[in-house]
Amino acid sequence: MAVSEEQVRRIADLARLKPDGAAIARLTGELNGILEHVRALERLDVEGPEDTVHGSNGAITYRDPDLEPDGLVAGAPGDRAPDWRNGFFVVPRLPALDGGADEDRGAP
Amino acid sequence: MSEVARTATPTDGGGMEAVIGLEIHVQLRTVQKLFCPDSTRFGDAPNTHVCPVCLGLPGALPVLNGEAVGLALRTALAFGCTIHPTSIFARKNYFYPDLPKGYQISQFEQPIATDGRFAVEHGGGVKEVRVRRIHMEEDAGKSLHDRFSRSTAVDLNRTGTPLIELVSEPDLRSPSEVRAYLQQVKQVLEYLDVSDCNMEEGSLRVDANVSIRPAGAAGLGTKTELKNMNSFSGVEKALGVEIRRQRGIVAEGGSVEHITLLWDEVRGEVRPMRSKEESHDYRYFPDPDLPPLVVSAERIEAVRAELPEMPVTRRERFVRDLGLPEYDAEVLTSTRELADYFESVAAAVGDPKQASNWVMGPVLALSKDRGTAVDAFPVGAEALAGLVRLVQEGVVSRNVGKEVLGKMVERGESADAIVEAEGLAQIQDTSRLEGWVDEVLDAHPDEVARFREGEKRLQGYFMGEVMKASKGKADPAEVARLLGRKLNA
Amino acid sequence: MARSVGSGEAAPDHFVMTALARAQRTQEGSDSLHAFLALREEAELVGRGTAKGDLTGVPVAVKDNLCTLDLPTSCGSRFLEGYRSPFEATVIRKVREAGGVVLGKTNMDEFAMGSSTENSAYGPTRNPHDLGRVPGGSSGGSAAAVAAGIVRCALGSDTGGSVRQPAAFCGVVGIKPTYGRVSRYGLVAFASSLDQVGTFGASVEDAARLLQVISGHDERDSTSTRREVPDFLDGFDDGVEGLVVGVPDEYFTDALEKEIRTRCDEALERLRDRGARIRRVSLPHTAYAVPTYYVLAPAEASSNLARFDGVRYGVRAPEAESVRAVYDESRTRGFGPEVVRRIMLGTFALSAGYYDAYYGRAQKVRSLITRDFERTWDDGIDVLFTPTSPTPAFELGARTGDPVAMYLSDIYTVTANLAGIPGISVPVGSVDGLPIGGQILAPRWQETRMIRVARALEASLAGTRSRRDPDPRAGGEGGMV
Repeated sequence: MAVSEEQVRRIADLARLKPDGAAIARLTGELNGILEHVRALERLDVEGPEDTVHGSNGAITYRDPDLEPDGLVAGAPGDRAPDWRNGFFVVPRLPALDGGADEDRGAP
Repeated sequence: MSEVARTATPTDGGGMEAVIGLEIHVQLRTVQKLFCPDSTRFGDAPNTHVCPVCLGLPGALPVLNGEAVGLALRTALAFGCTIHPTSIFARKNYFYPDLPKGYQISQFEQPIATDGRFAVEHGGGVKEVRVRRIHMEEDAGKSLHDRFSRSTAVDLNRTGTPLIELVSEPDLRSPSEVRAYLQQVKQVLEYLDVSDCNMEEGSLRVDANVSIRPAGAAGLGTKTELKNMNSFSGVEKALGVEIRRQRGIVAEGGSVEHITLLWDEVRGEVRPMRSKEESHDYRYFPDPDLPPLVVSAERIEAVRAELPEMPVTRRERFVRDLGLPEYDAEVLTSTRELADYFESVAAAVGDPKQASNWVMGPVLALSKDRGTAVDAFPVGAEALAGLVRLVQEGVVSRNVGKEVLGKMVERGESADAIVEAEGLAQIQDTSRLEGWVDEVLDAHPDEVARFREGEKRLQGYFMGEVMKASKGKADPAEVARLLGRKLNA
Repeated sequence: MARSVGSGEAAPDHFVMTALARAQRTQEGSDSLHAFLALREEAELVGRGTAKGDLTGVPVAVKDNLCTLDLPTSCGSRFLEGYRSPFEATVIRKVREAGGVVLGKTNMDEFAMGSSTENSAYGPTRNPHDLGRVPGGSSGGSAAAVAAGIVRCALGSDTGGSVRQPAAFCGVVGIKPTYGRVSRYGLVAFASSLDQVGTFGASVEDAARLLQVISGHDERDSTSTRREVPDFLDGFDDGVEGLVVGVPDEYFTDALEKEIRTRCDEALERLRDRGARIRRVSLPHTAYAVPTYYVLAPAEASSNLARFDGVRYGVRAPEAESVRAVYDESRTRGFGPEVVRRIMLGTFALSAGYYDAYYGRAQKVRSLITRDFERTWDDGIDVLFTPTSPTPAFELGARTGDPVAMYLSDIYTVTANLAGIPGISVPVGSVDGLPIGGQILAPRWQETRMIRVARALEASLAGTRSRRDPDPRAGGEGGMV
């Protein structure tokens, strides 16, 4: 199954990339070329094996409670920010979810 | 859908019942963030509790806070969940300015706990609500839209604060049942001491999904998701509005759309979220930076062994073992601090009912006047027990005792010290009491005569006169005994 | 590497200054190597490298995806042009504490995505052995800096061969340690389950000694092991007598250039002469490694690179009037074509409806590839020997138009990353003046054994030319460019 330009546009949208029309066409061709190669995986029976998602097989360890936050000794967190005002990172106005007041959206 | 639906009480129109499930986000009260050592403190200047990890700087890596895992386990056990020996942290990918890494570390396919249950008391009955899962995740930062005229300000202090999400099955049937569930869940979380549960500060947040179906039907209707509710009453109101909206649609022969709605507290409306904001494809996958979280059976048992007594169990015990009335037991177990306080007082004075009277009466009244919870009440359980013992022994009357308590709150001194310093102790010495009684009876021969003719209510008058003569220090019980003896002689 | 420090013959910064002068020379002119994206100023280096340790006074070149305090960290990307990290990578701290001196930041394929260093936003690095050819990648700058004799050792990162392949192309030694051996804290992530910091050396010993310094547990990386770090030079010159060297059939196919096969056969012959037992083995899932890799690595990368959004750092399109435009335009402008390609590929592989067919399936194939290796070790194989790359260094521009051809450059190296095992590339001769690398793969945590075999191979080539300079702080093949 090949990906269409429409799908490539949707993926670019998800990835917050904005290739122009020519780039979409080129990417569609390239992605299909790569996916053609990847298709080799379909020949394998993968019913048996477990998933390998980590680089090693250890369990997680907990942080030393005495560990200190690293870095940022030299300046403010916004020193590298394109727009930093009054201690805030600043971006163009987002549509507020509740009509203008502070949005305490939290994790969805 | 129609533009908005206005606040209204849900009516039981058309024999349709509501089916409601809740997702509760609970901030865990750890000192440090979930994956980095920054403080979780609320209310400080923006972007002051940030480091390379929670700022999502290139090259930074997450390392798990074990304290948060302990709190999650405690919660999962209290809600009767199965704890999974291995759980996996996953990345939930989406772009938002207050989500620095472009993904939120959460748990998806293998959460730390599933399949719990929670008994909710509502309308005189008890209902079991199934808990589908409890998973751990990190919080996002805050986007503030009112700081700059045409810009959004981003504060990342909250980014990375540990959360658990407690997801119920759609077992709830009405907004008031939901409210009862939320209140009782919050009470349990407070008992567990896993969270501040402060909705204003956002440490407890609730989303609901709701659908309707013919009462008693087995299948589920199309659900909508409700967000942006900032209080339990807001949740109750929003659900009422939304259920009514759905009933209206169905009554007109329409069908409910699967959308996300935002509650507008001020207007009492629900509004659909922009469809664009909904088109998420979160592309969850296991976070390769975090090996699997493995919890041993020993760890689970250790956490279980340290679980505090739950409010319902405690209430039942107060009734059964301490002989308290249902009402007292319910009030006293409303928070763990209050129940602990009461139990300490009861143990020290050896009389649970007395202890209950004092705690439920003067202590709660004074706390309320001060606007504080009982754990901030300046008179400790031991000190209160000291006062209660003075009353029990008749050293001071109950009324004087209340005054003494007020002074203990003001001065931080013991009951003994105040009674001593102000000479408040009751006089029980029979010869002195007899002196005052004789004085009063001698001074009121007419009244004595009327009493003897049957006007028994004059006993109270004599009592008052004797107390006046003693400047309030006479032991009323003893005075009553003496008066009775002399008048009836 | 600090044996002669303190004998009074030169100031501790002498070798650092010499290396800096060499580096500066190779940056300029029509025949420049362009191995470095940033170099320290001479004045900054005066008196540096005096900390007592295993690297006292040793200049080290560092790939530009390792966070440093004193130099920018751009990852070869326009997005991070001039970016200064407020913290340093754990490996950099360890180098510094051992007395080593970071000389400069080396060129690389943007965000380590590439096999030729041509994907750098700042122009390619050239191969010191043939300026018309690539140095390999993605750690091409570090490999070239060692090959040109500027430094004796350098740091790189290896996600699918990005240390071993450029080491082979440039005729130097490159080690990818076991996953978890070295902290990734401060390594700008490409594919987190595959990335490891690796080392380059003018000799096996140089690379091994630098690895010794940077290895070990780090509280700031949950994937770094708590195992004790062995002495990687234990039995360094003990040879290969009695060791069983496996030779996997699947690595010696038609894709392999004939002359390289010949060099590999000769290397095996020399190992046999020195007492090793050579056994043919089969790793049946090898052919699936590149497709697996090109699902998993882009999938992880698509998420790892989401943080480059133009909000907290990096470039922001100045005219962007909405948050959406900030994202779209900053990222589209900041990322080069290969990075865009891989983000697209990875986003697709994780997206709803395709996850199981791509990412899910690739995870399982990864297990099959890992099992191939485990079965081999269980069968009594001590190490495996393979070519590092199917071809020698290719010409600049030869593969830039064909992503799949470029990806196949990694055909022999990605397996070690997928299985988490260590690998080393060591020169085994040359073809038409271009260096050829042989790869030794070992079980997890068996770097010491792997290094011993690599040393035996290196020693077996000795006499053809000397690789060691009497002073370890000096450059390798001084001024060979």
